[in-house]
Amino acid sequence: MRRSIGKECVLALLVTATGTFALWETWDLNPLSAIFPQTVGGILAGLGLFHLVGSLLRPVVEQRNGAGGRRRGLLLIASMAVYVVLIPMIGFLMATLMFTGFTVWALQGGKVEPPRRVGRAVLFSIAISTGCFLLFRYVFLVPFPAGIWGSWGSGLL
Amino acid sequence: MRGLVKTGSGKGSSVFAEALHCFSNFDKEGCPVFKNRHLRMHLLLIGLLLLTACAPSSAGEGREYPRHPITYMIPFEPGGQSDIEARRQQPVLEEELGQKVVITYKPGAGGAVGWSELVRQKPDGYYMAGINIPHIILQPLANDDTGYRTDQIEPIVIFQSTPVGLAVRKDSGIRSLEEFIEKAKEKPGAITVAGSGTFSGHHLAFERLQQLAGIRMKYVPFTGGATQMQGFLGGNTDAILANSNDLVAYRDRIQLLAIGSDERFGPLPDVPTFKELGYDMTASIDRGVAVPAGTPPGIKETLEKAFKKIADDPEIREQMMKEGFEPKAMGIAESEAYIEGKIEEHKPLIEMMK
Amino acid sequence: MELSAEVVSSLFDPVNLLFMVLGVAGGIIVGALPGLTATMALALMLPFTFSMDPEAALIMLGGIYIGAIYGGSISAILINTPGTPSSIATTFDGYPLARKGKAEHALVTAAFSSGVGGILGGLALLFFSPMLAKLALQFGPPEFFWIALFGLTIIATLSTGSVLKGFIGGAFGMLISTIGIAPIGGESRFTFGFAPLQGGLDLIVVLIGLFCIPEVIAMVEKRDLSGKASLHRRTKGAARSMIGQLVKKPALFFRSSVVGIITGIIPGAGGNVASLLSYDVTVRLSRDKSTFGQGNPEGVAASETSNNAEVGGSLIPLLSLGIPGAPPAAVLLGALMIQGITPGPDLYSRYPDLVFLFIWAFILANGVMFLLGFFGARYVGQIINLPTHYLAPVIVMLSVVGSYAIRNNLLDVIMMVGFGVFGYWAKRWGFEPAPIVLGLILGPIAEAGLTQSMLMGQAQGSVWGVFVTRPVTLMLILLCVLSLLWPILGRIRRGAKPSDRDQGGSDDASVHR
Repeated sequence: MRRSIGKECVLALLVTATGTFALWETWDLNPLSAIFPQTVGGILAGLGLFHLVGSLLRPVVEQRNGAGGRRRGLLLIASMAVYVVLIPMIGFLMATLMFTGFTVWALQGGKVEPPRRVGRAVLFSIAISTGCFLLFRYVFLVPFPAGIWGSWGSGLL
Repeated sequence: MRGLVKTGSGKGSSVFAEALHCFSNFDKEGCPVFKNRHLRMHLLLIGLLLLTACAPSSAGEGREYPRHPITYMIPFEPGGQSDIEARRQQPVLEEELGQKVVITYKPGAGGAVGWSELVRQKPDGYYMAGINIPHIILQPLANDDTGYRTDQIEPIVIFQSTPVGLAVRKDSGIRSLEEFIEKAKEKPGAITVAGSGTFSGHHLAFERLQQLAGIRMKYVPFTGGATQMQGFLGGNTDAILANSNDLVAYRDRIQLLAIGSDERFGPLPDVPTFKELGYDMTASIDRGVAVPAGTPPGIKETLEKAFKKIADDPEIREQMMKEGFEPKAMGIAESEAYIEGKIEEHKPLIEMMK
Repeated sequence: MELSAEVVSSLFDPVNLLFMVLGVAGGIIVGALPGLTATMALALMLPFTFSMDPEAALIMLGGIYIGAIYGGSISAILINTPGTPSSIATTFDGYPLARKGKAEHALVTAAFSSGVGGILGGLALLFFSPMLAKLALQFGPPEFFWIALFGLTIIATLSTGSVLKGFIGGAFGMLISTIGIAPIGGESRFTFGFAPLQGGLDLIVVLIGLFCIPEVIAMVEKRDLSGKASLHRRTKGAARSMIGQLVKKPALFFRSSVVGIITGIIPGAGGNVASLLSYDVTVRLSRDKSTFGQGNPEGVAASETSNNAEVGGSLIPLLSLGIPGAPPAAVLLGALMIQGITPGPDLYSRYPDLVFLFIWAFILANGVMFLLGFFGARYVGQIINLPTHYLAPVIVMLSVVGSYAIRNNLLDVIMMVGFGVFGYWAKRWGFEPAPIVLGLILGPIAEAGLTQSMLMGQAQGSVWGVFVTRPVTLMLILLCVLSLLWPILGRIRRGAKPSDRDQGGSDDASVHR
């Protein structure tokens, strides 16, 4: 029981802390710039305290999630992060190819034979990444970042 | 391709469903397309060709500059006035420079996001941006983290001036600037004036007028031309400091008191200037184009020539006048001097306002 | 109102019709892609309108506008990502419907509702413009403030979990909306010296992050044996039966349209709010509130009707006063100006044929949109049958591209992923994305309203007086109070039976609603 109370309490404290931070950070702005963030910060802090009191008085039972799924979820998050970091480094098209290829391959884990996995992944990734890139770059005219290797990713300059 | 049709399981006769099905059941049945080696090679080839198509295009016939397309960045949302001006200029630019001009947008923070992006670009003449005066002067003075300094921006041309004018509603009974100032003296701090933005051209004009006329009013900033006009017309403020094009559009509904140009403004010939009424101030929002500091003079001159051609075009000038703008044609030297002058003018005022 | 011979012949001119259909179709596609909004679609087409006749240009742009607003519902239903911010409320019941295998029902409902709403909006534009345009001017800073506050009271309706956490989410949304340069005070807040943050957070970036990414992650986690996220079984005649059901509820459509039109007229309130308000009203007035949020087509209908009606509404102040009622209308303004037409108070007298042609074409375009949506629903719905290992990467990729395309800013992509991860964990803690986004939308409106009104009040001698002395303000305050007291009134009416929404401490740690 104590663990459940702890979780909500921590949350409530976080909320209160955020509100207080807002108040503190905007302290030296001129009144017109500060009034709204301070009001909202105050409300946030107040709600946090309210929740703190509430969670102390009403302990909550927690539910657990399936563990296997979690790993896939985290894998996706990690590959998304890497993708975003790669875009300015090697250009949009390259990064997208790598991301989609990797993710399609990785998400099939456990059900499909390796050679087919790779095959599917590569083909799908090329098709969808190139298609999307062409659509956005030439139809919607979005200037993608070129990356340090120059124009491979953007095709603009 | 016959294989595709055969593998359909009768789920639905749509080709789309077929394709999905084929794709999804790759492992169970394989896809005949990919089983065929020849087809695989062809697909691979097509893929590679597509990728190489993304490589740089080598255009230009031996010209020094420009050798490939140029980016023209607008630091505001599409559809705004700066965008419209850029669209007007684009065909002539492309003709003059012999390369495509690609218009992109980088909105945010009243232009600051775009301009801080501008100063980070390589000064090689392939990235230019629309600039607004006094924005590029006031923003770095008003905040420390704007992301750029005014001296990091080198102007190529100033092609348009939008004088700022003062107006009241027709039913207010005020007919002239004198009457307005009288009213303001009677009730200090009670007259509200709508403007666009804080530490902006309108705000500055407001402060200067207060200073010169010795009055105290209340400035109510709005977030754009449309919202300030709506607020003013709805009776929420007593007066408005607005751009000439907005004033021209509404001139039948409002009473114009004064305009901030040097001389009488073409599209609004009956409106006196602040200067001629005895208040030595000019107020305008000017539009121009600039490149990052350090761009070679030769490149700057090429751009200047192209923009000057647009600025001197009589048709474009007429269009601008009709819409309520004042066409200008200030080249590099003139623009730089103009900006310097404005910095001198605005600096003390901003310090006071902060 | 004239339907002169010229207007009719231009209306059915094959070239114009072609542009209309292309516009609607293109708009639907762009609207359906997350991150690409109606405003962007219009901005994209803007340069092409340079070389077109004003009639064709306006017809096409009108078609794009209405198509995009409908298109947003497609991704809202299929992947819980509002393709345009105006479809936020469509996710509440649209996505659950799709998860239950009824995507086609939801899509058809959206198409039908959008069509009806758009037509009613167009009719309002046609017949009530002068009167409604006057209404637009009645809204000043104090009114905007109270509208924002009223909007925030909806959070209680939106929260299917803990209402307290809903309000915390809303307050948090309002707080992050202040990041950047203060619209009134001019100083930068929460930027920590980092220049790109001056532009603040873009709504769509946060939208994609909070609505889409957590669902994708959950989809990946929860993958069932066949590798599919959910199964869409095509039921024969689903579309027709859906329409049959909807036609029996004229009150719903009328009411939602009115909400949409009024919201559209008010410049600055924007279409984003229309769907949420209409959803809220529909839920409050329904007998069985618990079905909402679980897949009640009426929720989809309420949302989509009002956001399309809002399009017509936003055009009213544009055509009558030259003041755009919503950002896409601002791009339309630009298009008109490029053609040399300056919308203003005298537009109707200077270009009557053009204006009426546009309005009638707009109404017609809604019919086109409905047909496209109706017949396309069965195909589009099957997209979610793709196995997760294809679907998830594609969705993430589209999200990344979409969030980049908004402001051409890589920071936005980073923000999107950041908010995505944040949203995922927030859900585990019991926070839903809708209240946060609502706070983000309403924050700037509330702030501008508050500070501008204070300045006005200072000039009048009483800072707070200005908030409570104007007729429209008083009406809005009444609405706020009513909205807050509604659940309590409902409980009193129904006797002692407590509603299970108000248990502040209860929330489950499972990710899905």
